[in-house]
Amino acid sequence: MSNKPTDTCVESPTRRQFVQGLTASAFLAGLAPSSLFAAPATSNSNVLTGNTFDLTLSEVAVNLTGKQRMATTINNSLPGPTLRMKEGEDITIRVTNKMSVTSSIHWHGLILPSNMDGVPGLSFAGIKPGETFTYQFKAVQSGTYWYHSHSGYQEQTGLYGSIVIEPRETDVVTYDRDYVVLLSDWSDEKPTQIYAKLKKLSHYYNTKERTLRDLAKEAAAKGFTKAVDDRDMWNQMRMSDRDISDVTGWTYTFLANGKTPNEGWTGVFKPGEKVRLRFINASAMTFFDVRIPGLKMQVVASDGQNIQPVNGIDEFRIGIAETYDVVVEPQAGAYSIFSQAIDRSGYARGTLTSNPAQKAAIPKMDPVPTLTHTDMGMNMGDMAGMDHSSMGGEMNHDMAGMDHGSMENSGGVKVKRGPQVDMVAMDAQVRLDDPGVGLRNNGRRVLTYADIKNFYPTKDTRPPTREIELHLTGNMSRYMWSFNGVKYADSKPIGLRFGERVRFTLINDTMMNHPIHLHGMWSELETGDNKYLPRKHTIVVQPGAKISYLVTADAKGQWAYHCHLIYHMDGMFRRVIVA
Amino acid sequence: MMKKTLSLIALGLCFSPATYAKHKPMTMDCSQPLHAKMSFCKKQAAKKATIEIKKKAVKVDHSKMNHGAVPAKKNPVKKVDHSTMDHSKMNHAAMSAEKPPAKKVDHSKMDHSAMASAKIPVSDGSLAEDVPMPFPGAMHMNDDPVLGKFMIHALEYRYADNETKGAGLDAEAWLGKDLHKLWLKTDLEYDDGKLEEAEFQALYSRAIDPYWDFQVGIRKDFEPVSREWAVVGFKGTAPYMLDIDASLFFGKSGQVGARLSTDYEMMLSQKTVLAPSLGMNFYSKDDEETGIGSGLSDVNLSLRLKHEFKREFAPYIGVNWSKSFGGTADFSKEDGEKTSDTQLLLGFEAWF
Repeated sequence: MSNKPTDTCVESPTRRQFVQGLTASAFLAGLAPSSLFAAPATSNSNVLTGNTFDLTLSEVAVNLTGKQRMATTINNSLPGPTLRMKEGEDITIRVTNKMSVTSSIHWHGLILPSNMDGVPGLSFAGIKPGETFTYQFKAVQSGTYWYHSHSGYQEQTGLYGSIVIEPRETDVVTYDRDYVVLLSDWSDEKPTQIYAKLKKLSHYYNTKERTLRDLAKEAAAKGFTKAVDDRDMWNQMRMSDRDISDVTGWTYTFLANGKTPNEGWTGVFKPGEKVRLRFINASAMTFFDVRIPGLKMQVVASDGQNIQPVNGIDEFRIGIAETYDVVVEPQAGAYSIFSQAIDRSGYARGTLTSNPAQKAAIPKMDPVPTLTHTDMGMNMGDMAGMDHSSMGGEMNHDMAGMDHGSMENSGGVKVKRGPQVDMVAMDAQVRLDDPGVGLRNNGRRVLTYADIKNFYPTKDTRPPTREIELHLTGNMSRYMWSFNGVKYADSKPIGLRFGERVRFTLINDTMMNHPIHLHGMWSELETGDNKYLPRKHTIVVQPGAKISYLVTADAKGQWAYHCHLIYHMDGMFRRVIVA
Repeated sequence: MMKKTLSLIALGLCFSPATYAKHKPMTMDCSQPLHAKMSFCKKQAAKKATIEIKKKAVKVDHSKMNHGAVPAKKNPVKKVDHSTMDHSKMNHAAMSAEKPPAKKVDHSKMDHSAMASAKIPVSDGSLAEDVPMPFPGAMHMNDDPVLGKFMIHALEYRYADNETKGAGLDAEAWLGKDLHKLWLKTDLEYDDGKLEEAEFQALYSRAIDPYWDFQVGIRKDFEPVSREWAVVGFKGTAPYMLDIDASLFFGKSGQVGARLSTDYEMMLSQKTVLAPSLGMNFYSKDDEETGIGSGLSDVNLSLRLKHEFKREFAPYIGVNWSKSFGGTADFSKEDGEKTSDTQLLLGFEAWF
């Protein structure tokens, strides 16, 4: 095993330049973006290594789009520095808030005591302006994680960074070089402004709506009656099948390691090397579909946890707050790391190259996806990922055709109806092997949750003793979000008994993907093989789908549990109390 | 007269979205006549019928279904009674072309096994009693801030001929939260430089349904004659994306008015919108002072072609046709005014 993970971020001049550029941007803001990143490299402040870290939060002017805007930054950097630590070590992180508002840092995916989790109100009172808070915890795990503010919309304006924890033992993943690829979305608009616009006109940012022209095209393709019929249901329901993302590239500039698509982030390798890419989606609102044309990816970790390697992957969808580690073995040359937003309103871009002077072709974005009946939980015969026609014999379960009227779909958990809920999925299905809207039938091998198996056997093999069922609910046009029709402000906490094994079942009654994050404990996704349940911190629930995972309530305290879409979070949120 | 009033109220309610208020969009109750006509329900009905027929025709042979091969453990799906289902004869070939990619189907991954497993209790997990926060007041989350919106639906110049030119303003504003808002509406009309009509409404608006608000408040007319009204109405979006504002007005003298406004936006492109709208007014009694006759008083039909330079700003050109009817038309004739009019419109729509 030639297992020498190099701290390539430190070595890479490109990466060094970038942070310098950003640090410099604090002073040079107002210049054209291209000139901002050309500052000479003099430090490696973007990677901090060890067991003691000092982070300073401050408001700094940045210029990512040609316009100067105030960002919230960590150590004057956007994203914040990568923290490299080692499993088993006692970690001390001193966070000093030099901003004018209270802040916090949450260590996303790290298993630690609840008073170190960084959620104001639950873990601590927050870090007030001028204060320093010292986080102390043991790094009990290894892998790729990230950190971000848990206060207001500070995450949207730049308070995030990556964490890499090297394993105490030899890494089960073999690679010669690793890079963090942190994806995020930047807007020149203030987050409060974005939220207000969504409340006033929920489709404000959707510039890919259905038009008469689309109808004409469809009519030409499949006949007028069919085209009109397909539109009919959506119009009846006062919904749009192009409602993919609430906030889009209209306002967002998508970033890869803080670099705009124009600039592009670059990672250099030597031909023959195995390169580990640690993808982190630190966006506020954007799902990305990631691929590297010309390279097959071996997916080796999900949410920081080693999985049984999935080979030959062309593309994967990464939800907000998820992480995926992939290993690629590129030949000499240049490759685009192309991360298109789920609604195809833009992309983040990086280049993996053996020669920094060599540029890779940037692929075209895929067509704008359109939601189907499946995505509405209507199960009208377009069951994802299952080709029933190719199945012979008597064992054909036509999920679509089952008379679900005779099944009690939910365990009796009622969704509170009212103005806050615009629909309840009639027939949500478990669709683990569905690549999701916009990725189906695209000719590429797309990773799905069904592919993910833990590298290690499931630790807690007890069956769950009870089930907690939560519908992800909302009203898109009023822009209200909730669980089971009850928003956080009106809810009671979810209670777990210390030590119990519980199944969480999530049913997505909305038209969009929601990444659901449980703090403090692993969410063990039921992907089919109970012996190797993958451990995740963030679970994406596809529109109209149902998904379940097991949780061992092994961490006492009060924890946050929420949708990680920043503008959904305040409503689609619960306190979880383990006692 | 009373009969007339009642019929007008009934008419108003017909137009009002009350019939839709109970409408639960996704869990469509196909037994409702309105829903049964919807294509979705038709499809469901057809599907159910097919299944019913097959159930009768074929006996379920579970021995052929490979359930035994799947380890019996757990499953999120509850209470599945396989004896009532006929999986064997379902028509897979009939599945639509929307079908996603052909991938290896591993039925061991499909949790049918657990269908047989012991049931575990299901709940939403909520505690019966709230538990205090460890650090009260530190979590600053507000999903429902107080917001305000000001909307000019139409600020326009109206041209009929060289003698008849005018201008109009149709604007609304709201201030409040998701479910409760203060809602203001105004309508001003100038003809030949003279303020002909001016009304103002101040309403409390309460969200009662995903798509509908109930509104109640007062209306004050300044022109042509000063009048006060009590207002009750519904405002929202009907199926097929029709924006509807339906109000009943109760005047001091026992006069009852009903107004229906319907707007639709047809997107020609992402920025170009063709927007037809229809407005109607009804009154229960003659009102000589304002020139209003009982019954259907007037109809306005307009078509605007807008271009959204920004989401918040869309200039337009359009045409408006209006006609007065019944007693109202008679009053107009007496005054030597036209009972129908066609105008060219030039104006803009804006909001912030």
